[in-house]
Amino acid sequence: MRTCCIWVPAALLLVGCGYTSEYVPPQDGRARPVWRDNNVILAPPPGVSAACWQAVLDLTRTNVVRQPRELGTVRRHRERFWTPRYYGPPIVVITPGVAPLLPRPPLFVPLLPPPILRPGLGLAAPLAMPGLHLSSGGQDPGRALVVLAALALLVLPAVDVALAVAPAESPTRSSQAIDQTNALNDLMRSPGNPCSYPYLDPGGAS
Amino acid sequence: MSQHARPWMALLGAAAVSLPACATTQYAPQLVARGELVLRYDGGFEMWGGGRRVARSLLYRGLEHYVRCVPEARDHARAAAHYGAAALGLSIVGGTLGVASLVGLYGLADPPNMWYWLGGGLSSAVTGTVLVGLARSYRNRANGHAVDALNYYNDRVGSLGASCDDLRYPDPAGPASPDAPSPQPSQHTP
Repeated sequence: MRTCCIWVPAALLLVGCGYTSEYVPPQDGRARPVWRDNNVILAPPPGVSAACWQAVLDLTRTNVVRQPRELGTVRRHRERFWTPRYYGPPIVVITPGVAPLLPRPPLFVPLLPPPILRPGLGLAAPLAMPGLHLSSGGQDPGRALVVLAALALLVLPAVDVALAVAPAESPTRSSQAIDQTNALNDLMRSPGNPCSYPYLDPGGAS
Repeated sequence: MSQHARPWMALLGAAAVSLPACATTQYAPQLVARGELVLRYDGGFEMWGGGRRVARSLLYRGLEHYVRCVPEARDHARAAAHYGAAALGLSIVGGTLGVASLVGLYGLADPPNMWYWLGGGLSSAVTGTVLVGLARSYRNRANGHAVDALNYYNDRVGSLGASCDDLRYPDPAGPASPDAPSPQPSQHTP
C-alpha cells in the first residue's frame, strides 16, 4: 500500500511533465504553430491589427486567439443585449389543485426509504460480494483494507486505460491554434483584407 | 439487460467512444508554398506537404526524410519518432497491465489466497499507471519535437518555396524582411 501511495502520485506528476521547446520564431511576418505548455499555440507576427484578429476569428469560427499569454487576450466581439435582473422574492405560481414544481428537491420525501444508520461510520450500504461478508462496524481493520484494495482494483484500470488512450494535448486548443495559424497566413498572403501584407494591398485595407 | 442498466451502458459506451480526441482542424489552408509543411489535427497531429500527408503522430514516419536537408529539423524529427515509438509501446503495456489487474478481484472469491490475488492485481495496476504516465510525458515530447522540426524546416526551406527533393528557391514575391533568414540551402543537400 505504501508503494502504491508513492508511485501513483509520481505517475500522475509525470503526466504534467512534457517538452519545453527552445524554438524562437523569427520576426519575418509569418505566423507559426509553436509548442508551449504541452499544446500547440499560435505565434503571430508583430503588429496584427484588431480588425485582422476579428477576420481570423470569423474565418475559423473560434472565439479566442490561441496566442501566448504575454501577448494578451483577444476575443471575438459580440453584440450583447441588456436585460433586467429580478432581485425580489421568489415568484410562486399558485394553481388550484396542482402543486407547483419545486426548484430544489425536498430534503425528506416520506415515500422514499430512510437511510440506514449504524454506529461507527454513520451511513452504510449493504455490499454483496461472494465469499466475503463486509460491514462497517470498524471491528476488523483487515476488512477495510480489503474494501480499499477492491476499490483500487476497480478504479486504477479505468485510470490506466483512460490515460493510455486519451491524447496528452488539448485537442480543442491545439486544433483551434492550428486553424488560426493557417487562416492568418492565408489572409496575410491574400490582398484585400485587414491582414494583407502592405505590398499586396498598397491602398491599405487595414 | 435491465431497464436501469441500459442508460448506464449507453453512457459508458459513448464515453469510451468519445474518449479519444474528437476535435479536428476545420480550416484548410489555401496559399501554401511549394515545399511548405502545414500542420493539421485530426485525432492527432498531421503534417501535410506537397498535397499529401507526410507524417502523423505518434510515430511521425516520413518526417525525418522530408526535412532531411535541414539538420536541426532532421534531429527534431528523429527525436519525435523515437519518443513517439516509446510512448506507443508504454501506452500499450501500461493499458494492458491495467486491464489485467482486474484478475486480482478474484481474490474476493478465494479467501484463503485473497491477499495474493489482491496484491498481484494492485501491483499490476500501479505499474500500469506509472507506465501510462511515462507514456503521456513521451507523447508530449514527441509532439513538441515534431512541431519544432516543422518550424525549423519551414524557416529554412519550406516556406521559401523549396523542398529537400528540389532545393531551388523561387524569387520572393515581396520585399525581404531584415530579420528573415537567408534562403541558403544547408550543407546537407540530398
